[in-house]
Amino acid sequence: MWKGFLSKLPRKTSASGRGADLDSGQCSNGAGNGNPIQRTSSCGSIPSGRSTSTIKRMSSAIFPSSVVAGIEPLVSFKDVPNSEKQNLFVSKLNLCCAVFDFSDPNKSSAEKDIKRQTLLDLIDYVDSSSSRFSEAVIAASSRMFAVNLFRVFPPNYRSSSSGGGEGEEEEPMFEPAWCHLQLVYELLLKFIGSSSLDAKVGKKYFDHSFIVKLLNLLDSEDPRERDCLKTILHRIYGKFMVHRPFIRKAVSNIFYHFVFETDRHNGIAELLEVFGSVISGFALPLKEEHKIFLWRVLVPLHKPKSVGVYLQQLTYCVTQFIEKDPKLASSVIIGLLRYWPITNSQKEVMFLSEIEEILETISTAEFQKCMVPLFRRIAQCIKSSHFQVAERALFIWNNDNVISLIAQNRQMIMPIIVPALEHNSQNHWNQAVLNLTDNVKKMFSEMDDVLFSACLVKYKEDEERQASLESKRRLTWEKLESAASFQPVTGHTAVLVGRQPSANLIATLI
Amino acid sequence: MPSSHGDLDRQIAQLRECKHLAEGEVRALCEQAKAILMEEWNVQPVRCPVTVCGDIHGQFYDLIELFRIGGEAPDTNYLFMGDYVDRGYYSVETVSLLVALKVRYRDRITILRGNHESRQITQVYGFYDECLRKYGNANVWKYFTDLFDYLPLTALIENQVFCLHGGLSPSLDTLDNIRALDRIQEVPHEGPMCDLLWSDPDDRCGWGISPRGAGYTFGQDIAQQFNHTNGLSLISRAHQLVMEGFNWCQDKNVVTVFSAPNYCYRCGNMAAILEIGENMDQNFLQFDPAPRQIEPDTTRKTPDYFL
Repeated sequence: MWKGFLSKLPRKTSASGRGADLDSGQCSNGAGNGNPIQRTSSCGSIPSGRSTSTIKRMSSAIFPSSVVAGIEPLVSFKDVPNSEKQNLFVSKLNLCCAVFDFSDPNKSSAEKDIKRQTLLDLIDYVDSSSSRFSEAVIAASSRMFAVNLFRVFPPNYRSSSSGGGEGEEEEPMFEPAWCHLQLVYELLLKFIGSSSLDAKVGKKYFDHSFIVKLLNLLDSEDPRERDCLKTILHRIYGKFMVHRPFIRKAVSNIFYHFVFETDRHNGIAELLEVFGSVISGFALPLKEEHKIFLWRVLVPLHKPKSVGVYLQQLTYCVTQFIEKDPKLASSVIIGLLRYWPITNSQKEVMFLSEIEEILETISTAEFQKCMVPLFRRIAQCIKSSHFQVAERALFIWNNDNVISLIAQNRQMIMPIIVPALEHNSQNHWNQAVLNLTDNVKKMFSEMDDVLFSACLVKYKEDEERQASLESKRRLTWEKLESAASFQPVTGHTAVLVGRQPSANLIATLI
Repeated sequence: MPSSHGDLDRQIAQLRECKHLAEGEVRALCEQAKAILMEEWNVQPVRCPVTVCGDIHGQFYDLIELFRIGGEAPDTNYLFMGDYVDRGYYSVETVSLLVALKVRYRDRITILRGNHESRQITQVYGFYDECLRKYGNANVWKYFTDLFDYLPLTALIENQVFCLHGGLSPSLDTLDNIRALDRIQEVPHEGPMCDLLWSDPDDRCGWGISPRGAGYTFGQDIAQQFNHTNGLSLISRAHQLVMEGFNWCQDKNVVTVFSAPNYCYRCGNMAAILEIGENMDQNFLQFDPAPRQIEPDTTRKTPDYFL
């Protein structure tokens, strides 16, 4: 248990530098180049690195009812002349519109294998094709993708028991039809990315409705499926410039729905990862629409209980924004202060990490705009009886950049922080927190001993004043109570008081 | 003092309905409990008949079920071997009820310290945050964790059955060694007091390094020797999930009792309690989780602007 406990100690996370410039028109960087969707060799296999026991829980989405009784294999691409290839492509796509029931692995296994082989043929064809796809090919592809991918997920039975899954690792559900779905996704990715697909024609078939349905799939329980979708969404955003505003709006809607209504969505981390790249591609100066996205979507995304699942991606998006426009820093910090999780210590630790990451790059002017409320909050965290919260807050003083900001503004900050440090020295139960507190005090006294001593003196005076105020109040009440004990209590007798009781009546009552 | 009992009885009735006490009431309760526990021993003597219980972990409705199965306090004598808080949804109500019963019926109920009755562990496994959510500040957490420092570490039933939360320590050969410990402190990260609350029995002989990172594992030879040296017939302990609720091991030198059914609302285990009768006869009672196991919805009650 101690080991598990140690692993929960706060660790500084650093978002790795990722992100491609999407506004340059080309989507240069998805989850990797070449073949981002790893293909498994046969039906029913599972991703490497997972033990077989993890596959036992399978979700089964409700499939469209077009389950076909029997399908026949089609000729190979190499056996037809070039002029016929696109027609054969369409035929093969139509064959792949047959959707199979994977709840029983033995059912129509021959047909399943034919479809699998056909999907592999299609992928190879798209890989090697150099001529433009005809509109018929695009239409048939779009239909095949829709028939295979778009499905309704079963209602989530686990949500009530896990309550948003805070920290608790849950086994992911695995899609039983994955050996087909995976190939369909791979084909979709290649198809969208292919230079043979003309965006002007493609946008008619990969339209708003297609995109919305694709985004809905990101709620899938299967992490492999969400990973594919992430890459594909990235590719679509890169390819169809005309759809970009729509995609941003549709994704915002998913976030709104999650934050303000359901508190539940499986694909927030993936959506944010795509958005990290989208944000880094924003042109300067930032459009108002983008700033509104930061304030109305990204900052409120800190509120849900499950923020830990996607915080790394969220922090990356936020810091991307601030890197683009450093003038956003103080408004983000004020926003975080508004959503400060005072009843959830683990989240509080995460917030402190994000704050430190923002302070890493903040300008002095922006820092000064928010430092007073910010350091009031940090003082509260330093005083927290929760040792991880207090430690994390004190760790901020290990950051050279923050130290120099504090040093420049010590006249404002020291008077806020010194009382919290003194409070710890006198009251805190945890030895590590006491040691860190001592370090920060030492740092302050080296930074400006005169100011530090003045703050200490003021703290002691305030403490004494508070104590004398309290003892005075206690005395007053004691006097009142002893005086009252000599007066007979005139309860029990009902007295009718008129609308305007005369002074006489009141006098008799007293 | 009939009036104070009246107050306490009202509080116990309120707690039995799973409604937590006011902050001031908890403070007064903990002060009274501290005065009682201060008088108890590191090896608290207990008379039979008594019913021995293991981990509860904030599973309040299962504790109520336990009292239904084993008999209500104070009609049955109880000995709880620690881990009242963390993990479950109702650590506050659970520990409040047990402490209130202790204050009201000090001779009818004994409560020992578990490894979760500590400041550091409760901040990682849920009790701290539950106090923040239910009271809006950490005061109640402070009252309880200050009280936990006074809980006895072990108990001894009729000089025969030795009860504690975890297990034995390589630095403690005799009960007198345990009696000599200064227990009024936060559970240390290592040393004899830590071992009593963290150790586990093991199939291998001798002492072993515990995978938990605190305490030790001890073999049958160690338990046999300890029982022989101290004239004991049995070591009764909790601390580990056992699917049947109780588990004999080390040739019946050690028994594990675990009283949180369907632990963490997902493990699917049974719970058990050990009845020790007036002739020291042993009888295990097993029970399933109580039907009502919904997470209290604390999230939507307070609008954000109040936080």
